[in-house]
Amino acid sequence: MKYVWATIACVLGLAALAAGVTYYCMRAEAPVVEEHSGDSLVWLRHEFELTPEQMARIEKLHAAYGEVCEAHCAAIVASRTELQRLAAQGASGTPLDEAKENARRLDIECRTSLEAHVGEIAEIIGGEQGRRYLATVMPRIVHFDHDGPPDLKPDEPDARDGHAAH
Amino acid sequence: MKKHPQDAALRHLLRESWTVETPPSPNFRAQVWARIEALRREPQTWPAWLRFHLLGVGMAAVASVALAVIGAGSVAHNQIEHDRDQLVEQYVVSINPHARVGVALASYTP
Repeated sequence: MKYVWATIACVLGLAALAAGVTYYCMRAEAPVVEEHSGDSLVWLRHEFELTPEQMARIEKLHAAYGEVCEAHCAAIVASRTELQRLAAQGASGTPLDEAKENARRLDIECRTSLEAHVGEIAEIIGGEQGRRYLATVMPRIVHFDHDGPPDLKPDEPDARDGHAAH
Repeated sequence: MKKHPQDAALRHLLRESWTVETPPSPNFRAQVWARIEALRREPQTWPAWLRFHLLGVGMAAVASVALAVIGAGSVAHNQIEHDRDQLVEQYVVSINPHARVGVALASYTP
């Protein structure tokens, strides 16, 4: 009977070793998420087989677009804050319509600019990989985008607007 | 227990006249020899025991290792997918003002 238990222990040990090796080997190649690493291009580096030149062009484009993105972000926040202020005051008619129109215009501008940027990146990546990049990124961008005038309440973030929904 | 005055007489009578006859099991000897033989054949060392039960132990080992590999592979795969999702999300947030606004307004207090 003692041989049975010793054998069971050995088999379990062997299985645990196999599980550990499998897990380690599979995880070794995959990128690890580092919170607050500040490097948002980790995914591109690991997912696509990019040459150093391609990566350098993408990094340059990404940095340049960062400023555009900041500007859009500030404008969107300002327009929504204004909308919120008007709604809180119970405003109606022209001022509210103008604020909504402004917010809609900013949304369209932002979306167009973002799609153009994503298109440029896909072009640099090129070929099948570029198409895969678009197929991964575009649905997430569409998910974040707005179709109508935003009426987002700051204390109740709109589910369409991204992070609060995740 | 109370004693009866005629206990001794009863014991004597029983000894004289009551006998129990049990029929012998027809396979008694064969069974005893089979057990002796089985004990004799049982390996006395672990390697010998393993060789004796090679098929069963081998099958159990292969099945256990296969299950462990499939399980660990599945866990690792799920974690890799989850991490990839996080990285894509990180990237999309870095280029999408709408996503950033979502973050900004979520923490906004008028």
